[in-house]
Amino acid sequence: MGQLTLTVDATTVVNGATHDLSGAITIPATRYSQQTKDLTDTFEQVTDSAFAYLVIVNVGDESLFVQLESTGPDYLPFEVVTGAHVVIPSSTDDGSTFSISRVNARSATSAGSRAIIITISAL
Amino acid sequence: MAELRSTLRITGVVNGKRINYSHTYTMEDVYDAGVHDTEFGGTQMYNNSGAGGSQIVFSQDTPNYLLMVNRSAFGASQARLISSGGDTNFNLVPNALVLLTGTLGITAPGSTITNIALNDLDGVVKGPINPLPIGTLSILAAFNAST
Repeated sequence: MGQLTLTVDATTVVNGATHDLSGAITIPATRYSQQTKDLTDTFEQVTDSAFAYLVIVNVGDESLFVQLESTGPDYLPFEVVTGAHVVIPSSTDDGSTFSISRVNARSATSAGSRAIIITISAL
Repeated sequence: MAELRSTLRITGVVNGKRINYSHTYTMEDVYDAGVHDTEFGGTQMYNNSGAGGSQIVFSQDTPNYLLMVNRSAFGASQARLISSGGDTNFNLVPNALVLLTGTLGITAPGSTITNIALNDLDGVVKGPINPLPIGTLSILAAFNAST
């Protein structure tokens, strides 16, 4: 049991205009997991469905793809570009019933990539 | 061109273990950006009162960085990502957020396990999650030239 705060702050100045947005959510967390995984160009399971938030950080040299798999099975793929992080809540669907059963990931090409995979589970 | 700086932080204590993780992503070659709800800027985005809620349209290109935040501490919001290949919904409780990146697209819902060809994002519809109180969704979209 515990509490985690997940924050993202983004800012850019384009042609003299500042655009910024911040978000912070406090989660009554029951579990925090963090792993570093080398990915190949075939989707493989990296975590299960027990999360409120999924965070993927690409620390490799090319894009990687993370895929939510439902019990359909149906799939929701997302790209994490090189050097970037993505934040995905479990409350995601494709317009119909989407019950996440697992999360898969792969690199864009056979050169491979490395990801830090974080899951936060909540009450 | 400009840079966008995105800082992620996860802090707190879980089961007696202290967590203090941070990561910064710098997106280079940003040529357009805008924040919808507090203001919308950029030549590629405009507001449209689409069915089911207020819609922001990406008329020229797909965003390469998309941060969506429900700024309400009370209500819930749905962010529906619109693309020709199908929609993706994020149902956001109070203060929830979503951050996505992409090179040539944002997502591609479907039944093919091997698909990584993501669809152009045409827009985002901000809507309620009935019968819950409505939240306040803010969206920052940024576009870079590195594609």
